[in-house]
Amino acid sequence: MTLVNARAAFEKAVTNAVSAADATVLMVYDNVRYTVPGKTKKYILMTINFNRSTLQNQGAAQNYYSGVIQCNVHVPKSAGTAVLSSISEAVIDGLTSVNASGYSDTFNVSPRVSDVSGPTPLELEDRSHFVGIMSCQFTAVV
Amino acid sequence: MAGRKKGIGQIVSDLERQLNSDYNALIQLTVEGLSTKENSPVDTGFFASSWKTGTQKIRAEDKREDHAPWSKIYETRAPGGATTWSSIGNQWVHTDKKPVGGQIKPRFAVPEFNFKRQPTVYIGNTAEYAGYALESPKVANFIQGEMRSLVKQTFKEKTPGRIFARTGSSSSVFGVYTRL
Repeated sequence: MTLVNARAAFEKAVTNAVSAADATVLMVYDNVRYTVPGKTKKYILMTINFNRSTLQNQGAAQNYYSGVIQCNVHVPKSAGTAVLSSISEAVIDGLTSVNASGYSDTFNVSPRVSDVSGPTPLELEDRSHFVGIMSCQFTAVV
Repeated sequence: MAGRKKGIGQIVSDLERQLNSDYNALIQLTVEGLSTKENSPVDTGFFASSWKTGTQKIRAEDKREDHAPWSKIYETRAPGGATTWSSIGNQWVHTDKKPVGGQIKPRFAVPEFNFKRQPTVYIGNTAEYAGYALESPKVANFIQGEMRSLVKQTFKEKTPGRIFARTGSSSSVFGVYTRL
């Protein structure tokens, strides 16, 4: 279940940070069934893609997960980009919280993230929401 | 059999030739990688076909409707499917219009670059709606995931010049580029 744990570590870190900053923001995860929230809802679509699962060291192979996390922050245009910025800040705090020395590794996967790209704002004309896109590489070792 | 002898004076030109070859190989591989359905979201294939390299930042301003064969894709209807009566034009119209004949066909050839004269190369997408496409994690997954290992594999010593791949907004010339 280490693959699941690796995913859970990052999802939990981001979810905790976002809910602490704004409890009305909905989290949508790519690996479970979901319905896109309504036009007035603030939500984050979090996608985790794995690129690597093992390191073939001499001796036994080691579970070493790496990949890319992308968080698309959706905020109704009526709320303004200030809200988009504050939610994006919370996402960044959540992602980087796993690197902190005081991070409690409840999933035992030693999660780490590298530099976070974004938030790249997208104002798409025919959409009800502003979109901010953030992505970063991650690793998890078991 | 003695090997061909080369003077020590050629070491610089040999190294530069090797670096330039690797530099161009990486750019070519990057564009080829992005122009696939694995690394670009594909509906009509226009976005995946519109990756371009240049020494200037790439502008996203090409409309699908202006470029064949993608311009005709939505006019081609799948046989069968649901139809509904439209009072506009008094005719039956297809409600499940889906692209037929979508294809990935790179629109831009990758030119040869020289890492000394063109140390900065931009890779971007010219499709006007690239912003929508970048919501898909495929592009970021390739650029931040596979690209780094591609760089390591291509260059054995050190990376000459700088290569950027676009991951950001399409509407502005000041989009976000990731330095690889």
